[in-house]
Amino acid sequence: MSQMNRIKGGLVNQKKSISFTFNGQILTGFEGDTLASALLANNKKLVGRSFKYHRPRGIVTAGSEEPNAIMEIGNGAYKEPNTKATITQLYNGLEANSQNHRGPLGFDLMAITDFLSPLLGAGFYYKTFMWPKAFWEKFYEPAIRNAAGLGTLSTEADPDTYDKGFRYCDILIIGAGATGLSAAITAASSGAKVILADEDFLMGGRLNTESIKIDGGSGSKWAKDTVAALSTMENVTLMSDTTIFGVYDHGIYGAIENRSSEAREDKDKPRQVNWRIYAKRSILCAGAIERSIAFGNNDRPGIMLASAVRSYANRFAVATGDKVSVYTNNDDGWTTARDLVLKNVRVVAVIDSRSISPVLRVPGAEIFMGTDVVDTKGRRALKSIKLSNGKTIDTDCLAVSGGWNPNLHLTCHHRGIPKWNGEIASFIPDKANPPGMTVAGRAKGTMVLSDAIIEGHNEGASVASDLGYKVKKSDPSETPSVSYSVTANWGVPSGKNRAWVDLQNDVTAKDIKLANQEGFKSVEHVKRYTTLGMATDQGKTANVLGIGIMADNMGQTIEETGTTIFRPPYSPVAIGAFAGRRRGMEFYPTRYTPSHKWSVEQNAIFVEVGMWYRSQWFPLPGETHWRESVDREVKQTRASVGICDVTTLGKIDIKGFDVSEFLNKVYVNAFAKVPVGKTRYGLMLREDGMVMDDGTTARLSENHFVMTTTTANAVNVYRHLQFCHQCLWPDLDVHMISVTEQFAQYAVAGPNSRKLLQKVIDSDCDISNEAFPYMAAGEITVCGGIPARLFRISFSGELAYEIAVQTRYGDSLMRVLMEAGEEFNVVPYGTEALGVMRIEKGHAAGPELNGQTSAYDLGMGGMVSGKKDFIGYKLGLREDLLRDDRMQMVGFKPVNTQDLLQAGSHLLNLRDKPSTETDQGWISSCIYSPILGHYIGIGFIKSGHSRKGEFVRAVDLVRGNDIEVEICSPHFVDPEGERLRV
Amino acid sequence: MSDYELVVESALDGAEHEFKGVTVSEVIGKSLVMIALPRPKFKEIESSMIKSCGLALPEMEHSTQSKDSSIVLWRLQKNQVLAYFSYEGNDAEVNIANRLNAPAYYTDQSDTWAMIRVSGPRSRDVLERICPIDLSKNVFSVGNVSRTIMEHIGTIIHRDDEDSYVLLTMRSFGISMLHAIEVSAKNVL
Repeated sequence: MSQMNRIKGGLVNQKKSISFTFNGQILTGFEGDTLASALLANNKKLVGRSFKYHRPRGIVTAGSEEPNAIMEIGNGAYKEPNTKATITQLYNGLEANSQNHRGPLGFDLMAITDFLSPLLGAGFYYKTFMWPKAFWEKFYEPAIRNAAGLGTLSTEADPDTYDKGFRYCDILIIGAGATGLSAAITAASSGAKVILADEDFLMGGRLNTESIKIDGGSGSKWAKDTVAALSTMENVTLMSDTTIFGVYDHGIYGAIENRSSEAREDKDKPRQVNWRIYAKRSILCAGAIERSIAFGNNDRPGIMLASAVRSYANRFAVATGDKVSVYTNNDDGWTTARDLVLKNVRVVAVIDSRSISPVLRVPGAEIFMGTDVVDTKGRRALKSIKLSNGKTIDTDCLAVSGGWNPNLHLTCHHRGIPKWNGEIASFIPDKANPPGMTVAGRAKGTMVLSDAIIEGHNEGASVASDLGYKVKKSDPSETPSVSYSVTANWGVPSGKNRAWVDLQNDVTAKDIKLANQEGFKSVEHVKRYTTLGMATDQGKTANVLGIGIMADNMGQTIEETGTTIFRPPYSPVAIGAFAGRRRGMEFYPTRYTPSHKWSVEQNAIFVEVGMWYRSQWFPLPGETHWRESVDREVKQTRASVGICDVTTLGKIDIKGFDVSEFLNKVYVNAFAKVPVGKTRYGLMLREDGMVMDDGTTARLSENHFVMTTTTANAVNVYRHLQFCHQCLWPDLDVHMISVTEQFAQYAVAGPNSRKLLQKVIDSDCDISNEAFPYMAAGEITVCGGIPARLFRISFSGELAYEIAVQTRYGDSLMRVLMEAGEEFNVVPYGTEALGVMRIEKGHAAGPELNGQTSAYDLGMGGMVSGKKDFIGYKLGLREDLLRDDRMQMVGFKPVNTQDLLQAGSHLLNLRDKPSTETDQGWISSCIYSPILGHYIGIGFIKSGHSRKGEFVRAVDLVRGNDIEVEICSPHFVDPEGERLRV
Repeated sequence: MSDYELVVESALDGAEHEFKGVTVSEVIGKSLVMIALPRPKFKEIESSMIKSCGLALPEMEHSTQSKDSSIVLWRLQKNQVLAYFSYEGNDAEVNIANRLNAPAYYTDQSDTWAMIRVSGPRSRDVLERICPIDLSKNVFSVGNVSRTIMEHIGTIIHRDDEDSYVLLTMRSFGISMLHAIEVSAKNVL
């Protein structure tokens, strides 16, 4: 029979059926159901197996504090484990499967572990499975791992997308129950910008689950009307199905908005949005969460929290049993009995552990005061309970209430510590909340609804007023005052039976006692030793109960025992929500060069250089191996002419009266007297004397320079220069701005480079060797008057120039250069060939400027000026930096020209065994030289400058290489620099 | 003169996309010149610009317009303004320097930035997915300017009308930024 437990009424739409499956069985529910309420409607009491002992478990709560009803929802790549059925909104086609069992749910083969429980108590893996030692890694651990874990992953990539967002408000109200809604009304009426967030897809909190009257009408209607009114206000943003998961610094809150229903309609929409909410103030109205009582066998399917039983009856129109009993230590538990009777659900007994008069009349029920439940029967579904007076009661649903815990999690995210309130036998927020946050209602410990509404109403007004808004005078809504009275009861001795505290991690009162006995006295230690509170429900129903038991065990007060630290997230957050869009190509942004479009047309192979996408080489049809392309590019450039996009190198435009003085201070060499129209190579040090970057700086006019940097250091150098200007020498007239992106810049290199350029540069610009010698720089025009800049500098060692035009012409210039170069068989070359040629030439680059090398180490000691102060000068004079036996940059070539030489190899004397003591240095850059016909390398070796001609070994233990190399000059091709100056 | 001709390309090829309530388009026809204000010349620069163009120096994170409204100055730093003006020539630096006639330092940045306009009644809903600053109508008013980071990309944002925002990102990031805005539009609308 379908939905046999469904009763009349509720807030679900009984006219709209929804079809779903549970463990392959097709079931029906209604619109407005959660998966849990629909399962209960269909009498599915057994919904899973416990973590350690595989005991049959049923639904316990109606909220995000649920420990048992965790399921795998969805199929294929969409499957998500550990999803709480109690907060999953039911939808058509929902597929749910129970977790943690081998074989059918009803007959879990792993339930054998329940009988091994004496071996599997708290901290068992520190005490058992220790012998023989070898068995741990080979046998025990794999077996435990196999049995452990909750739920399974699909192991496929998550097909859903996630998004992030930023919202600002004056007041963030957390929780849209009676208190939150009351606060929202007064706050919003003042004109303050309010965000009201609630974890549930239906706002209203417990107003939707209780049979309360507000302003004479039903609580749920009041909630609905209030939400409707708020939704019309422009200064209010309502965020239902949104969990505020964390309180961060500076009034920033993390929130996850669930948009899965939208994502199911349109697969391109994100299923969750991770919001960063910036709130000037916040009011926490998160209510309270009910806790259980620890008694023997208190974990059977059918044993639920009392408030959940009436939630299912009142909101979801589901009777959780035919013969319900109630076990409570407070007045609130009786409300369940009353509400069920009003819905014609049979209540067979009410058991109250307090020795007082019965709180209410419950027709048809046996009343037991001053009594406890001590045991239960019914492995797969509750059948009966045994009382402390010896009586047995036939019951299929036991509604337990051990009291209410104010939901103060968020007040502690800045290391707050709650304080114990004996009157309500619960923890309440202490004074030190996160800055800007106040608390109202049950979350504060104000347990009576009428008081909570007034508190919310006043707090909303007070906070808005604090922020400078004028609050309209109004009266809070009214509800009959119902007192809350409780006497703490953590549980009764269970004898041979186990009394469960943490249902999800299978932690019992005995485990806690054992931990205390073994010397774990701190609540933080007990948590980790027993795993109490460490499951996906984060101990929301278990922690306070555990603390109470601990206090009793150790004969101390609850204040002395304290709580563990509360940390974000409040409830589990999918990793995807933190990743947001950071996946695949969007992991970080990509930067495209001006020649990118043209390069794609050439089928170039690209490489990521930081965020830049640069051409690595340009294969021609028929070339199958990268060396074919790269060797060709090098040979052709050196033989005739090649073009490379060097736009990515940092370019910094510096203007002002004091620029040359400024450059003098940041470079090791002199810049004050660089003539207009000249470029000079500059070496830049850190304060500690180590080389930071190098580049060429050109003087375009008296007070105008353009500095270049390496690609990798473009931002660092700019930042460094800004620091120098703002903090060290603010009085210098120096103004700088990055122009890396302003100009497309191409290297044109090779013996025919001048001839090529002369076809493109306007004829009135003389770039002959006499007029434009090596290291010249100037502003020219190209292609009929288009402004450009020309620099005669060479990274390759060939006759070479770099030509720059405004980036708007970048693509076009590349095409024009290639067309003009056709007659010279011009070749485009990428970063590989660029690297080969600079290593052949012996130029230091990134691998050599690694932050550990000084100017002297690099062989550039001669550049260091002795006549001026500059950054790095003083510390560069440290004795150790001036030693002759430091690792110095030289070149290396294999003795056997067929040998492979690899960067990263370490250098050893011929007969030494490899060790850190015998390590002489390392090879920093290495390539196959198509010009020389063998591998060459640049590297650092002790006393390198004085060891040229010596033979050592290049050893690579990682890749298994060990060859003899000769130390030589790093300048392999044209060491005299003749080709540069033609 | 050289026989070859160079062709101009904008950063985003004149991209334009319509969504429900939002238009995303490349801004064409504007030049950008970064202007450095040397401290000793401050007052002189201020008075020169008023005299030449009726252009006041804006407050930090605000903008001002010239008398003929063709030039907008965005105040980015105490000593830095960005001139955003209607001009397409490749000599924007000289052009603005002549027009303003103020003793400041000028550097052309017209090719440095990709300029994207996000406009329409739902522009803020789309931007709140990637923009970490408060774009509420009464907080980020018409004329306001701010620097921020959107999707790891440094961005300057300027509100130039009731429902219109101009975003500047470095030219090489332009495609990535456009994509980020389009994903936002698809996610929200």
